[in-house]
Amino acid sequence: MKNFEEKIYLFISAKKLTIPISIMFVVLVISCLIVLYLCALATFKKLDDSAIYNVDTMSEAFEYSVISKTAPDILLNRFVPIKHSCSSMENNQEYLNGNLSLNKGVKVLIERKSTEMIKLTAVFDSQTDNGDKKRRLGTLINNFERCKLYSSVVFNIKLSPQNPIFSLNIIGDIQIGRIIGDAPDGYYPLVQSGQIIIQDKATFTHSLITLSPHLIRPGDTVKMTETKGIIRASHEHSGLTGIFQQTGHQILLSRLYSKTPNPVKPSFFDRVMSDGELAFALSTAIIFIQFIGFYITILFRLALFSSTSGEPNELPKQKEKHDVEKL
Amino acid sequence: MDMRLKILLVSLTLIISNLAFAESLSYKIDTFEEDYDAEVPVSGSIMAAYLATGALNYVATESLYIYVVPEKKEVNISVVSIDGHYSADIELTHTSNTAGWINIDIPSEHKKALKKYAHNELVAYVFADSKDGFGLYVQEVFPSSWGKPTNGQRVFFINTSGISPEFYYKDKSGHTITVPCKEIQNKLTRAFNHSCIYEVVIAEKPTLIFVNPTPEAEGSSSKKFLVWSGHK
Repeated sequence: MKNFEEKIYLFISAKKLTIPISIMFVVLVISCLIVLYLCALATFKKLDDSAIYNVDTMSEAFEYSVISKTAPDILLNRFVPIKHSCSSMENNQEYLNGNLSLNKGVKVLIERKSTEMIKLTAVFDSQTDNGDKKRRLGTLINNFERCKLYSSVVFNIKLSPQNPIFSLNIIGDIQIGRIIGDAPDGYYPLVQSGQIIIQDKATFTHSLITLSPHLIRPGDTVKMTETKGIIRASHEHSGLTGIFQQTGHQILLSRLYSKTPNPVKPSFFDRVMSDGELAFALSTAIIFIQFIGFYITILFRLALFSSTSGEPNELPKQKEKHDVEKL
Repeated sequence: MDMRLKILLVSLTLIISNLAFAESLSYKIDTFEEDYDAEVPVSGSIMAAYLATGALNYVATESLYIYVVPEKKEVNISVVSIDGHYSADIELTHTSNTAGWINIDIPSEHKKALKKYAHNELVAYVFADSKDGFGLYVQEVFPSSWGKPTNGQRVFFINTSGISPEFYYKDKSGHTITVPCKEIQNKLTRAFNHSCIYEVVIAEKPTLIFVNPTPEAEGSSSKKFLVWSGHK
């Protein structure tokens, strides 16, 4: 037992503890750097082309820009043409069915306030309109002809118990809601509600993680790029429902009356809380730092103790000498 | 035989063969639009294609054969790939005075990229505007093939949300024949997802067929087409 104690006292000396303390300091610094790196990763990691944005929303208006030459056709049931260039149709008459295909560079506004008729307006996108009068907006096939559309068209679609659903598949750029101004000539359609859910890749294994949803509030506007989705209206419910998915790019969200739109991206805490791998790595690194800190403190105390008590290997001998003198 | 007569015969033969060659190129493309984007898939319409068995089992844009009839000089061709990455619309006028097959060279800028598709993955829908017996709009549909057509199978490719689409027509005796379509087993069925084998061989006139994409749905409606078989 005495030999063991002697061995320990031999080890605990200020000179011999210098190297372990130095090594522990280096480990501590490296651990701190790892924590800083992980924090920076969580803060500055950008959503790349693999990020998937899922949006579900209820809105009174959607603006859809056709970006592909063969976007999905729009099936029209019980529709009332308001503006068109088809010789076989009369304005304000109801027609049973039609098939509308739109060309690239056409912008479509789909609007429905409350439970009224759905208004579908297709025009050339001002950004792509080159003034070419021969340019075709699209084609409408009805029961009587295949009609080539050259200028803007407006159709109203009636929903009823016999025709309870209108659905439109989209491939293109989409704006949910309209930017609200003070124009007094009509009532602006509003976004009612919705959420944006981002799916991104985990930091280390690149498996799919779901970040916290961003809420879309009434009056907001959301802009999406190269989006696939469905816009749907039902006879019994007011407004329109939209579900969209976008891969890559970014989504711009404008809050009501905000001057500039902001890209939708996760915050530091959102990413740490959603990315289990990152949270585990970060918490492990912090616990490790605490452990190293504790170990260094112990070493410091031992070194301090040994320096105040003289040479540790002399202690037992001094104690023996002191006991003999007492006797 | 007199030498002059021989020369005359040879000349006539050459003229006739030239005329025959000119007949095979007797078309003018009025409009051509195409789109190739691997990122933005497109969709096909209900009737996405009508294909005959051709000599090629891959796509060669210079070897699209289409069946034409003299009554319909203006023909539309919609080409679409099964994955929805490529689509093209062609409006052409042909000058053929007899019913038969003509070879079309699609003036595509993506000829190399399109060669990767099999013959049934990039397909053409050839149609002309027409009216049925009631004066209602109907499309006359003509078969097409990659490479010279054989007398083999004809097939429709359709794009539908239904799970058991079918088409039906009346045979010579007036009986309604219903033919079910089969789901295409391919992961990339963006532009079309069902195939229907068409075995009518009437050559002299088109057959009125009705495609019902969703016969399982209550109150489902059919879409009608006048289909040429393209058989001799």
